[in-house]
Amino acid sequence: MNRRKFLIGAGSLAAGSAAAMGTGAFSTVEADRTVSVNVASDSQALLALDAKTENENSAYAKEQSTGAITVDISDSNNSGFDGEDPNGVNPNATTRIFDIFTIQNQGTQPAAVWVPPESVSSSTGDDVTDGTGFYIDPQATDRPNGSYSGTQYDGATSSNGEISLTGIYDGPQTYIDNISGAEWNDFTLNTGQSFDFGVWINSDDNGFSGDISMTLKAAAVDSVGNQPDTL
Amino acid sequence: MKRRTMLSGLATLVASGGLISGTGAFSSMDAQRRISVSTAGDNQSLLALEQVGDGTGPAFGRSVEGGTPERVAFSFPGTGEGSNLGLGTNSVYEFDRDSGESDDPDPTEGLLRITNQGTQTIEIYSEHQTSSELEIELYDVTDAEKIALRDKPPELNTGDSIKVGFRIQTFDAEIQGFDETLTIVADAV
Repeated sequence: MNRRKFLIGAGSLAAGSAAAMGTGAFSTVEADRTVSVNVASDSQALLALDAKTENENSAYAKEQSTGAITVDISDSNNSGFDGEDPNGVNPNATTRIFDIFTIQNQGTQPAAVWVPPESVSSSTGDDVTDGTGFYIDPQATDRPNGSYSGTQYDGATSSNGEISLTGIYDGPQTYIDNISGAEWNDFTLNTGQSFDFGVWINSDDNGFSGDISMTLKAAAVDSVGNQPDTL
Repeated sequence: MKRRTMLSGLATLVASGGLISGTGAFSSMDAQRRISVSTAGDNQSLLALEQVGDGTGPAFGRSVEGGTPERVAFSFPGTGEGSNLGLGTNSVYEFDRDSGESDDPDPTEGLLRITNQGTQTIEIYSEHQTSSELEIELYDVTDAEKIALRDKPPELNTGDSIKVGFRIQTFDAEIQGFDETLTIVADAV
């Protein structure tokens, strides 16, 4: 495609623009440069997702062979009390499972970490973020920054510094704007800092069985508590 | 746009060509002419490529330059960021600046500065051909939407420069190190 342009350029040079030759016209330049990329498992990533034995509910976390972490609250792998074999959460109930794995900032800058609400989707096609029927919301607990401890869903009181990583499906900025005491600090991890990932699950009488996927987003901030440039 | 200059170029060729054919037809000729070419380091070349920002140690950044002639190279994470670290799978990472800029109250944005030191306006973009799952693209760090250069190549007039960051998507890439080649393309417009 550029070959043609190049020939034309050469033609007009031959026609006598020696001046252009001396000053450095070029028609196309392609420069190959090397980029080394290291891909690591979630536990070794710059934004590390790591389920360790000290995570109280790490039994619900699994590191896949691809290195990606997943959470499983359906399977019979979650051995319960006295060898019982639980297969899921209760119907018509609110279940909060905190501290499944740790999210740690292993990068070089402080970063705000959250879950964009639009990224939460279900393999069943159900809207699981509408706050009615069956819904699920990712939570952070044991946060190192911020002091927010206001109410969560259904008037329940925050415990363990619990905060909704989706900003209760509004995104952190709207959440911060609308809820007294909430601030970007609540979502921020300085270099080396971590908080724990958990889920809030509300179930109704209709059963649910499916996979929920969501995106964890980390955006660098210039200093702890600032709003990130990228939302 | 280019077409017009081409046509006028042809016109002059044809016009003067009439003179030539009238005075001495020839079917073939060989003429040796000397073309002087010199290569320069990336900093001094017609398309200047300069690493920007500080790494976490001397020459340990995400963007570095070295060798003879000097060339820029990139590493994610930067070699000073911890050898056992990496980018997570199925993730999109955007690197706006070098690792050593974190503590700087007025950090230098971008990892690479591209300057048009030629005489024509160019458009600039990157190409990434690979057999891996990785996808690497450049974007203008002053663009709030961070649109990839290849999707909307910016134009650089003579002397203009642009500072770019790197967006790397890992998709289902295996957990290992990859040595990728990114082609930086400048086309005259």
